Amino acid sequence: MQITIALAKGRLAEMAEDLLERCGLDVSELREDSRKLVFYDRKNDVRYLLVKPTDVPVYVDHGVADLGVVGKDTLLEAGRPLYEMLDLRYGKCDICVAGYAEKKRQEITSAVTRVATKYPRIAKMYYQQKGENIEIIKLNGSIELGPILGLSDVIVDIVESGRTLKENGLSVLETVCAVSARLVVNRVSLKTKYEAIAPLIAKMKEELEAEK
Amino acid sequence: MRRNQLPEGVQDFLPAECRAKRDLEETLRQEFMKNGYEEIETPSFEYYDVFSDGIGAYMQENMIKFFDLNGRILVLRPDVTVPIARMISNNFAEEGQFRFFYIQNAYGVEDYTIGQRSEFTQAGVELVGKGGSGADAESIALAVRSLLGAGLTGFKIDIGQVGFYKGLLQDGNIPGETAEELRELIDNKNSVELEYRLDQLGVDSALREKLLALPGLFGGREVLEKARALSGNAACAAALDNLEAVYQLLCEFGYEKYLSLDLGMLHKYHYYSGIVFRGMAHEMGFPLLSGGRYDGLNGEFGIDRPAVGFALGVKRVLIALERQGSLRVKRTKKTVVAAQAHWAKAAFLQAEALRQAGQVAVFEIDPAPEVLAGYAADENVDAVYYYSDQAQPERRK
Repeated sequence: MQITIALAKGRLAEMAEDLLERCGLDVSELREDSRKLVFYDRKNDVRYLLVKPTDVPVYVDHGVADLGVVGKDTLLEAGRPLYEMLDLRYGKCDICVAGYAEKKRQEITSAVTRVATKYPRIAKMYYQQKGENIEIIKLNGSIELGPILGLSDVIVDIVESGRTLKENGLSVLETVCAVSARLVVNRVSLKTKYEAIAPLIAKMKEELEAEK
Repeated sequence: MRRNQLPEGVQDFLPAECRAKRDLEETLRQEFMKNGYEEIETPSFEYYDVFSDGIGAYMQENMIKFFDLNGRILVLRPDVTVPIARMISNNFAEEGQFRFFYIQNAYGVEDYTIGQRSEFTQAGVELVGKGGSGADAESIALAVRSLLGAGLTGFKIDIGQVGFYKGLLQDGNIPGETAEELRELIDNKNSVELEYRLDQLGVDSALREKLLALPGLFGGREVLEKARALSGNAACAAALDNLEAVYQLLCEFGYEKYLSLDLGMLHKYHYYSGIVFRGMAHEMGFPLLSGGRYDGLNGEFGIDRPAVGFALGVKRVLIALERQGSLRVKRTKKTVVAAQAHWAKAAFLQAEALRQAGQVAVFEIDPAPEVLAGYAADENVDAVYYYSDQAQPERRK
C-alpha cells in the first residue's frame, strides 16, 4: 500500500530527507534539482510531496498525504486535528514576544497592546491565556519592522539565534513556547494503512533515540 | 456583496448529487428500519439552554444563535443526540427502551478553511434505555451494516473505551481542566507534548507511564492484553471487560475484519461514558461516522437512562463512495409528451396513462422547436411524442 509523505520545503525537508534515508527509504529523487512537485521511491512504494510549510498540515488533515514533517510553529498556527507522533528534535527554536525592553508605551490613545505577527492564532492563544487584550496586526515577513516603525508595540515571532532582533535593536521579552520539527500523521491513515506506517514510525523513533 | 452569494459552509445540491444523497439516505433509512429503529424528527432550532449546560455542552462560539420575540436565545441544533434526550424526557415518563433514528441536518459555526461545513446531514441511531455490552455491540453492528449497505468496502470501525482513561485518572489527583487538556493530547496521539505536559505537572511516575502508553494502545485484539497489564484498578478492568465483550460479540457476528481497537481514542464530547467508536475509510481523511455510549446525558433532562448511538456524515460517505468508484447515480428514463395547445387534452391524457403505468412522463404545451429537438437529443429521454395538428401524435424519437 502506497504511503504519501508531505515535506515542508526548505531546510526542514533536507533534514527530513536525511532521517528518512537512514530509515531505509530512497530519497534520491527528492535531492535532484528539479521543478517537480511529486517524487517517488518506487521500491518502497512511497510518494513524497514537497510543499510550502503552512500547507503540510492541510495535506495531512485531508488525508492526501498520510504523513508530514513540519515545524511545531506551523502546527500550532494551523490548529488542525492531526496525530503528532514524534519530536524530530531538529529545527529547534523559540516563539517569543520581542520588542524594546526599556521603552514602555506612552501613547494615551492605545490601551491595547498591538502585536505584529505572522502567527495570529498563536499570539491570540498566548495572550488569551495571560488574560490580556491585544490587537493583532498580521504581517507576512520582516516582522521586526513592526515596533521599529511604530506599527506595533511588540512582535510574536520565531527566534533562532536572536541575531535579527539584536541587529534591529529589539530583544526577547517573553518566551511563548519552544518549537521543533514534528512528524504528523493523518488520523485515518494511521489505522487504515497501519502495516505500512507503523514500522516506518518505529524506525524513525529508533533512529532518533540512537541520535540522543 | 453580490446577491447570489452563499454564506460560508453551505451548498446547493444539484440533481445528480441530490439524487445520490437521497438514494443513500433511503438505503440508510431502510437499514435502520429493518433493525427495528423508528424515525423521528426534532425541531431545527431549540433554546440555547438545551445545549449550553452540563455534559452535553457545546462550545458557545460554535453554535448558530438568534433570538425569539421574547428575547430568549435560540440555536440551530448542533447535533441530534442532545435533542433526542430532551425529546424523550418530554414525551416518555415511563421506563423502557427506545430505538430511534433520524436523518436531519445539524448546524455549526465551523472553520471553513479546513473544510468543515456549517450545515451537514447526519443519519444516526440512538438506543436509549439499555446499557451493557449487548447494546454496544448492537449499535456498532448497525454501524457496520450501514456502511456495507451504503456500498463502502475496506472500511474500519475503530473502537475505544473512555472508561479506561477515566479509570487511570482515578489513581492520580488530576483536576478536571487538566484532565481535559490531557484528553485532547492523548486523542491527538500527541505523545510529544503529552510527555512535556506530564513532566510540567509533576504527575507521579507510575501514572505518567500509563498515560504515556495510551496513545500507542491501538491495533487488534492484542491491545486488550497490553491494557490489562497496564492497570489493575476496578474501573479500568470494568472498561476493558466491556470492550472485550463487545469485540467478542462483533467477531461472532463475522465483523472482525472491520474492527480495530484504540484505547487512546477519547472523543471530544464530554457526554461519552463508555464505548466510543469511529468509522473510517482510507479514501477519506476524516471519520465517516462517530458514536458511543452516553449514560449520563438523559439524566440531565429527567429520567436517568443508559444510551448508545452513532451519527453518520452523509456527505462524507458520498465522497468516500465516489473515491472508491462506486457512487452511481441511477438515471431515470423519461418520455416526453408535447402538444400544441389545441391538442393539449389528448397529450395530457397520454402522459397521465404513462405515469399510471409507472413511467416518468414530461408534459409540455407549445414547446419551442429547439426545446423539442433538445428532448430528442437527450440521452435520458426514451421517446418523444408530439401532437402538432392531429389527434394522433407524431413520434419524434
